[in-house]
Amino acid sequence: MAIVPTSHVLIVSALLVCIGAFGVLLRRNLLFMLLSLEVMLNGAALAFIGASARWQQPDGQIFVMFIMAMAAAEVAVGLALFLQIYRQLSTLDADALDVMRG
Amino acid sequence: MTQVFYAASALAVVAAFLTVTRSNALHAVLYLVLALFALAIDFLVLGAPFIAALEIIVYAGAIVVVILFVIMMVAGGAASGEQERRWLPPRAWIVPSLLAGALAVLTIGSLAAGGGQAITATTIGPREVGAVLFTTYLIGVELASVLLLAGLVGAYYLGARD
Amino acid sequence: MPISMMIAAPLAGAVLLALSAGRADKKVAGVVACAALLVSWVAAMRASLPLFLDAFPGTAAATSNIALERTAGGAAFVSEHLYTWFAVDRLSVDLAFKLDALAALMVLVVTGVGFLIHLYAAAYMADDPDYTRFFCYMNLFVAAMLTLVLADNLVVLYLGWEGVGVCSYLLIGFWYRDPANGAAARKAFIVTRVGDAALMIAMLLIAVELGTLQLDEIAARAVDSWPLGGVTATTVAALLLIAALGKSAQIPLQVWLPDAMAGPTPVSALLHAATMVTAGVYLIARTHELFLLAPAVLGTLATLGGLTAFLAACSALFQNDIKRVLAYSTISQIGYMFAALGVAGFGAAMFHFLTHAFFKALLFLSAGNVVHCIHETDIRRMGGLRRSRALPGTAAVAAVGAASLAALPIITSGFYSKDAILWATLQPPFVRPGLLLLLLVTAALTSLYAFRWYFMVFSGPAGPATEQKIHRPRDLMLYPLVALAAGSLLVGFLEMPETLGGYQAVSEFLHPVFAAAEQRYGLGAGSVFGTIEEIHRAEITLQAVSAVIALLGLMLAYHWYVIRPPWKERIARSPMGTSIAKIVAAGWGADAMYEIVFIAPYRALARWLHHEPVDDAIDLLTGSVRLSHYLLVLTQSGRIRTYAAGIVAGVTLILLSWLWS
Repeated sequence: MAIVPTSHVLIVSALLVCIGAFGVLLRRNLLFMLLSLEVMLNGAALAFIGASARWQQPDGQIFVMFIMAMAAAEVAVGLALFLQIYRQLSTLDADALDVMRG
Repeated sequence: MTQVFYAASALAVVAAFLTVTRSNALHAVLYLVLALFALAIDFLVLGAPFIAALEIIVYAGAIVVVILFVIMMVAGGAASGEQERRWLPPRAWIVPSLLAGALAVLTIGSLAAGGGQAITATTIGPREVGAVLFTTYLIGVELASVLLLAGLVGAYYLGARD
Repeated sequence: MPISMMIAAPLAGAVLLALSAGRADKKVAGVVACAALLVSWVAAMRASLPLFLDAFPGTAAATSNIALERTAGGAAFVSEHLYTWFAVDRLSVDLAFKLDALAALMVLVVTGVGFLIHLYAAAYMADDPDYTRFFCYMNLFVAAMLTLVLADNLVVLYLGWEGVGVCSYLLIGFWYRDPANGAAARKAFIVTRVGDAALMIAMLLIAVELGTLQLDEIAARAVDSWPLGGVTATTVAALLLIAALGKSAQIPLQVWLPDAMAGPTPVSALLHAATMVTAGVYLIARTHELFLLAPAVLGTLATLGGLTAFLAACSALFQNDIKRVLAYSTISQIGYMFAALGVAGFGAAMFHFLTHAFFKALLFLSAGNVVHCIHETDIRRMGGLRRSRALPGTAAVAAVGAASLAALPIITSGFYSKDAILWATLQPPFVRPGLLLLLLVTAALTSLYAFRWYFMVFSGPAGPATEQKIHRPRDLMLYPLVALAAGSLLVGFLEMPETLGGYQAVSEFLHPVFAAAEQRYGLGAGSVFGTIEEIHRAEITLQAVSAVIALLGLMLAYHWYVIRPPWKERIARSPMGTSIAKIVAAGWGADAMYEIVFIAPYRALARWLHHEPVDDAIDLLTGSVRLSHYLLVLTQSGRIRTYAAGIVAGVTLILLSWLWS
């Protein structure tokens, strides 16, 4: 019994990725950038699950597991960095981090 | 099942949009949790119960919680909401909308053309996933654990007070 | 192997001397440099041996194990391919060398005469503190000259061409602490640069039109695809002519050679008499097929050669510097070679190159002896040096050199080579009696100025510079001169005219190189004179005329510059006489012409603009680079959001391009 065309799943995934990208470009606060990044990752995960369902194989799900593991590690290290930045610059403004200019 | 999928997807999209546009950090996190739950329902519909569970447990339950901790340590209070609003004047929305909009139009436009084969409702449970995971993708598992170890050590070192 | 050895030996010598950074002992440096040349000369003889055996079978019992290849026209050559630089489409540019009869002749002269001059210079420059640097440059020059001559394609030839230009600059300005020498060096380099640019353009045209840069293939393809007298052929030939004019100091690019005498005398002998200035002659002889396809250019070549010969001979007659006389003489004699090339007398031109190398180097080195001993260069202050205790040997060899330059009959080699050129102007299909007349008048002037030079320096009453105590020249400054004198006398017998035996070794040796062209255009076939007896009678008449002219010059010079009749002195000192002498001595105002036409207007323009236009054009390039730097720096804002926006934009563009295609 067919549920939904594959392209629709991919369209939803693309929408989530674009919203996440929009968020990364829009926000100046590093924490919100991280949240937008998580939205993008979930969009990618949805695309993998859709592919896994279309081909009837578990490989896509395994990939999503790896995505989650990677996201966990990334968030951990990223937040630690944010803490350091806040301690040194007393702000989480992304535009304050422009020492590498020029 | 089809309607469930579309409803959950719509909810996820709206919640994601609200996540990225809120000025209050806690509100944004809560909307993210909502989006994650909606996505978990999507995963369930698409026949991936294991991943749906993982999504809720790992993502919404662990990652988001960690983010919450840091938010409360760093950006506490209404003052941060004020600053966020100041950092989002109307003219800041132009370029991101253009770029992300162009990206969206391109991808969705090219996707909408081809229908693609329809997905049938079969569930691929934890048993099948585990079987492939620990045979074909065993090295990925090991590498992921190394990655998490690296993340652990890195987070500890970078977050330590000097 | 022997071909690259010829070039590798002086190159290695130059590198060794350069790396020694002037710390080497002078004796060691001299030995290294001369040994390198000796090795090169021996390698040249070894490499040319199979060519000799091929041209003159049965004359020698020697055999050679070097394999000979043949061109389509039957010319034998030895080739060496070292390295393919690049090969694109039809065009392949290699570092390859080819030794055929023409190259063999030049290579033997360059290494042989070069070796003798190096020996001389080892003694001449012994008191100079920059001894090592001198020999480094000299070896480098010989390496570059050999690269030029042995080149298989135009790119390697251009490499050698530029190399000799650079070495000329370095050697003319050797005593750089005097800014005048630097100015002379710059002048030489810049004037020859005009020719170099023409050569580069010609190379590019040939590469585009014919699709190859290999010399033999160029000839073959041009003959097949370019019509006789067509635009392409004429343009390419004209550009090659300009290149040759620059390097060989012919009109209108002759202004650099008299000033190049600022360099040490061995430099003047090697570069500006025997070898480098003949590179133009070699280029034209090498690309003779292209010139034969453009008769207009060929005619211009002959006219320019004759004109240069005449005008330079006039200038030589009024020079008072011992070396400048010889400089103008070189210009004049190369004019002879160009005239010979212009009437398709290739063998005659190369034979004159051979004899000229000997007697001109001899004359320069004798002048060097004189200058070295009495520290004076003005010949009006010399005289009677023949009778001094130090310079009788020098006087004797200088007499031989002057006689050969003046083409005294029968005994000197100059007589035979000049006669060959004069005879070539009457050979069909390029018969130019007017050119013959001009060259005969020039021959008279040549004899006159050659013996004027000799008599004013070595004969007659002693001048003020001769009174002082003179030390003898070192032995090593005399023996090479004796060798060169022997050459000046004996080499002539290698190419005798028909009427005097007809043993024409040089022409026979070079014949295969020009055989294809000779056959195609009927060069040297038939004659304007009809029967064999009439041809022989004409030849003997010509020889008698040139002999009489040479002797007449000798007698007039003796009368005017040794006996010095009072009426001649009065004319020379009169106002009209002195002003004519000044104009002619200054090269008929060539320098002044360049000053008026090019230099003064440019200076005025720069003064008016308060900026130098050429400088500004180059600054435009650097300015645009700097501008693009400032523009690009704007993208490095250091902000994460800017970079993220860049990534998203990039992904969008990639998607767009992918979807569109």
